[in-house]
Amino acid sequence: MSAATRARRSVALVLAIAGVLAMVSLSRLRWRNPDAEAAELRLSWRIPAPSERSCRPPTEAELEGVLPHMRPSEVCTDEAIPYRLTVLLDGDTLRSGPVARAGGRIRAITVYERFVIAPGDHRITVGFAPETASAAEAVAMAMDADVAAAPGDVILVATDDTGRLGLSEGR
Amino acid sequence: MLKRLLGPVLKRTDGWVDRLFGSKWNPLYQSGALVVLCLAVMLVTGLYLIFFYRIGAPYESIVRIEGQPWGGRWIRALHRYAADGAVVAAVVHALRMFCQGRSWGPRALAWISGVFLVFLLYVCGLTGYVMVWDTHGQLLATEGARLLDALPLFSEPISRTFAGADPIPSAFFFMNLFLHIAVPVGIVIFLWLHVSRVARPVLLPPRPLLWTTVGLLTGVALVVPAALGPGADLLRLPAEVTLDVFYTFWLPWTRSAAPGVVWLAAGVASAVAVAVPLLTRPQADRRPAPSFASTRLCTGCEQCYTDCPYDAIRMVDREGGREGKVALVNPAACVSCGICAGSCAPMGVGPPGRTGRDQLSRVKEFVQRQPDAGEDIVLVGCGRSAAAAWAGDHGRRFLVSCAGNLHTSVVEYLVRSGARGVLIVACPSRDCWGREGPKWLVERLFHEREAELKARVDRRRVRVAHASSFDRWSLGEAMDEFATELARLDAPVGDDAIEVETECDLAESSTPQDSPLPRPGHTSGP
Repeated sequence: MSAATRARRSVALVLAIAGVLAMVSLSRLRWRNPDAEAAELRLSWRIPAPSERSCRPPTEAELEGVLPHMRPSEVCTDEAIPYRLTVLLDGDTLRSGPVARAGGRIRAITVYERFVIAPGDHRITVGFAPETASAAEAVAMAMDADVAAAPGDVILVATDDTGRLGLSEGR
Repeated sequence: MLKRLLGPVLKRTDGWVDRLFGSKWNPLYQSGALVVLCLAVMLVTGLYLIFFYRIGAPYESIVRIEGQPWGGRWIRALHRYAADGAVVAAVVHALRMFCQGRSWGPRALAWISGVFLVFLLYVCGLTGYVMVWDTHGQLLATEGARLLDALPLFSEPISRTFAGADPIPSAFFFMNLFLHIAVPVGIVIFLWLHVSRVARPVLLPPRPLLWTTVGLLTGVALVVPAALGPGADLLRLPAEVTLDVFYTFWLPWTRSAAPGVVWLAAGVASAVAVAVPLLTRPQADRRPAPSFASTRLCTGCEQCYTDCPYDAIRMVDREGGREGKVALVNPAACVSCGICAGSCAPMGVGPPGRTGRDQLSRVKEFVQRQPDAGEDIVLVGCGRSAAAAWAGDHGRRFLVSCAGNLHTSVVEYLVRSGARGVLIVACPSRDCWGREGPKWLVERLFHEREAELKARVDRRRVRVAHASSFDRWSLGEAMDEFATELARLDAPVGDDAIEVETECDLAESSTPQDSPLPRPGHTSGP
């Protein structure tokens, strides 16, 4: 191997090392998450299928189509109870509207919402109740709390073991 | 457009890297094999790491691994840097194939399976980062869940898993681990598909490059441990995160974008990547015609069948009650590399206009056109090599579409016509457009491979050099060295009447009557 070739191979090795180091430094790039400069209000809970059942006697036409031993004494339909979620921060409305249900059938209602809030002291008011007054027996939840949010904090509102809304432990 | 921009950059880079590393060890030419090497390193190191990983306490188990200075720490770093290396090599490999026009026609399967391989590599990498369950993993998991929730896949938002109200279920880490281990099986399947249309796929780089790469990655893994952020805390927003640009470059952008926009961008990018074979396919009249085999000239020796780098030739029974086999080209698998033309002693196989017979006719004209230049060196070069742009002091130039395309009769004709020497310029062997051209050329010229250079030809007057299109230095050095050696030989004596054995009449048409696109292909005179 000539001296020139040896020199070139040495440069190649140095370049290869530099290339690998560059790759490693790109795989360890520090990135400051701008979201962490604010705080986050997070709502997360799930309530089992709230629905309203209404029953009536079957009509003659309905009974004719069914074998005698299978005729029901009443026909019932379940209707999903629409729910409304209201979130206030220091009296300002962050959200107020119906909660969408997952799927076409009557299923559990899942609430998962995230709001970016400024760090500092806040009053949080959350209301989660049926939209129709007739569904008086359905679950209704509400919460009112004062919180101090530092940058990067997550204020989590969730249900506890008794099914009541509250700030999660650790807050 | 992209090809026009990147093509010249790529050629120049090849030339410089050839100059420094030598074309044999140029890592750019081995990019595909380097991906496989990195995958192999990941597999071996992953097998070690899996023994220490606990799905019940993921972060704690990684901290424990990091606490093993002579084992776990550098093995984890090697695992991670190999994953980065795989992405870098895969991107280089894809860019090379794209710029060299090796992404359409029979190569479409390799391209599309390559796109899926990159996708699987990403799935594997991202699940690996989530496994660690530090702030980086937390950010990836929450962002991934946010994006997935925008798709109509789940009845309830999976983001709730990371709400922080309850501990993350072990099932999540189990599924993540399962994916991280199962996806490599998919990678193996797609890798098989990726190389299924090529003969003798080269899956690993040559040993010096292999061990240098492993050594460099190991060295850097020993010196620079892999990043490990603070443990995930779902009730804190990660403030400073160590991103891996190769896998999570998208994270800062998607955080502030609507999921629909992210999916749209990903969908468009994926569709474009998969559609590259269609987008880069030349118009029908510009596509090189596939090879054909003359049933009359074919002796059934099977050499073209053996040499074809794309398994595009089969040996089938002769028709008409005659015994023996005859070569049959599958046009759907043929990329028109023309290597079969160089491998066929009776010159009965090859792309239209580029068979041995066509080359011989051209070289006759070439010699007749320059009767006074007999004692010069003839530069016979691949049109993609440095010979295409050669403007040296001495040397006449005779270009062919690929050095492996070159029939040895052409070399014989040139030497016997009185050329002082014949310098054949091939592309670096791992960068041949037809994959194996330089390898078979050297075998035919100097190692008696079928369609060999006849013994009567003075081999001292024949030399092979490897130089990529921009590597004028290597070609210049090879030319000077060859000229010096030729100067020590007696003056060449040309034959008055050269009879090159073609076994059949030269007037035999090299273009099949039924060939859909009879055209000369990529050949040109001096």
